[in-house]
Amino acid sequence: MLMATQAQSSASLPWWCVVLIGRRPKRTLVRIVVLVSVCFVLFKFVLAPIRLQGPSMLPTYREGQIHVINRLAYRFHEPRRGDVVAIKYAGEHVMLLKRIVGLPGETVAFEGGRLWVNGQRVEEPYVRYSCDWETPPEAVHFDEFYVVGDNRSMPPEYHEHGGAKREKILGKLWL
Amino acid sequence: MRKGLHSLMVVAAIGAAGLWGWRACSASPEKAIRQRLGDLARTASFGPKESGLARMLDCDKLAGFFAANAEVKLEVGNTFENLNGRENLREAAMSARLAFPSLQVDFQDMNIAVGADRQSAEVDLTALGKVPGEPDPQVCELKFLLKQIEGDWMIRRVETVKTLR
Repeated sequence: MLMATQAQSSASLPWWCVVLIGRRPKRTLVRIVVLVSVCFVLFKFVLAPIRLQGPSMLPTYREGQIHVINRLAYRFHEPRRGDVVAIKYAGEHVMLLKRIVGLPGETVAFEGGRLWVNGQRVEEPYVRYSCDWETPPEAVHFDEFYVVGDNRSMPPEYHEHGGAKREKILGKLWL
Repeated sequence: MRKGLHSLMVVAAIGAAGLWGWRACSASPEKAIRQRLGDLARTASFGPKESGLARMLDCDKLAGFFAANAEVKLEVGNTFENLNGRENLREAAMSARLAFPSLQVDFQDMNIAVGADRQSAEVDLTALGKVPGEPDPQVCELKFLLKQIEGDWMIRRVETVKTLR
């Protein structure tokens, strides 16, 4: 009986209507509402798509690539060394993408282009380009994380790096 | 019964239209500030074919956004600018117009906090400046302090916020 009713209702719809909204318009509407709601919640509270601009994360992440930030990554634990994170300026339209190399309370320095944390050399397999940075030891504040890009082929004064406040870190690069 | 419902709908529609009109006409401080800073970004931008007179007028207009005793402390990349007063600002605007063939300024993510007195406000925003020949725009976070002077929101202070310390 139900099948007969559905067949009748789909037969009464013009072909273009069936193509656009399917044989069961009510069900299509429900699907659209669910899809829009899921997308809204997902992109407002869980994920943030970003498009990379600039060379600071080369060669790991290239200019023009689209990636996704997981906003919930640090809901249950604090950022860790090696994490690639998005750092907000005044909002979320323009952000920095950097790697965490120093944790709160640590001392970070670059000697001969190598990273030193608390006087210990840290291996960085993601740094592929030659680097000759020399920076004095810098203490990271208790509410900050020391971030830097993977491309350190330019002089340090041309590469944005330093302590980022915890509240400025939006999330971790996921995809 | 139906006539009563009809009248009620008409009254509701008039009420909604009135509320919309009132909200559209009475600019809230946030809206006025947003508009003002948008105008500032447009005035600070310039194209390659700007005539000498237009250049001078734009610099005057730009200085007009600031209070007479305005202070501007900018740190963009490795450039430091410390400007005081309208005349200083006008000269800096003119120098920028002579130094670059064109400049596109854009303000994003304005966070506006109006003071309790409704006469002052603090705005935190992301400023983007694009000059030709450079692949990426210069980006910095700026904090504006505005005061309402003779009905206009005038910029009293601008300073760079260091996103990375």
